[in-house]
Amino acid sequence: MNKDSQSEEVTWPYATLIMCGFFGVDSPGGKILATRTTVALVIFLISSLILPALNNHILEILSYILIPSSLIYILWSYKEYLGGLDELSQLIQYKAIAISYGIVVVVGMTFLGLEVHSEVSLSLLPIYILMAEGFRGFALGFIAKEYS
Amino acid sequence: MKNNIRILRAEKRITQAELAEKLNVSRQTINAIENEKYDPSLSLAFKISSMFNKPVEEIFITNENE
Repeated sequence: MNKDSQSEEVTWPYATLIMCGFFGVDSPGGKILATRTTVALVIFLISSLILPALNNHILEILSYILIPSSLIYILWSYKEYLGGLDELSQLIQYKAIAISYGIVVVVGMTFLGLEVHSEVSLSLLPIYILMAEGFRGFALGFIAKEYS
Repeated sequence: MKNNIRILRAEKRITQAELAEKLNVSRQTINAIENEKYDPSLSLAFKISSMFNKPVEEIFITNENE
């Protein structure tokens, strides 16, 4: 019999799924996603932290353009990555998105409800997105385990 | 749904990685199908059927056919 055709087993890259939210640079389109996301994050950080601090009106306007553009670029890159995955990998990603962002919508709505009776602002959108991405990583790990 | 992909693969002497490459899916997908953790789409089931030159119903066995 050729090699180990009967008993071979393979696992998902759990650490990468939980920490980075994708199947790693070896997955189809993984390297491109990593490169695009890194470039977009560098542009986002420069636009949101450095450009506004330079006190230049043109650079400030530029930062207003670059911040949403870099985030849209990340979303587009992720969409392209999902399109290149096989059917099971796509299913795992979609389930993780549904669970994590579903939880964050519930948490966000709860906080918004509490805010009515509170003087403290609880509707901090960037924190919700970070929370959702954290949940998504763990959801990916748990869901992938179901299919191993 | 049960399937006999592992047996057919052994008969053809091909590894999960080789089958995955031929079907353009990940090795984890083949593993999940063989372990009956995942039922493939109709499209993938027909690709598998074509790969082994067997009818789909001979490879995938539903509870009704048991």
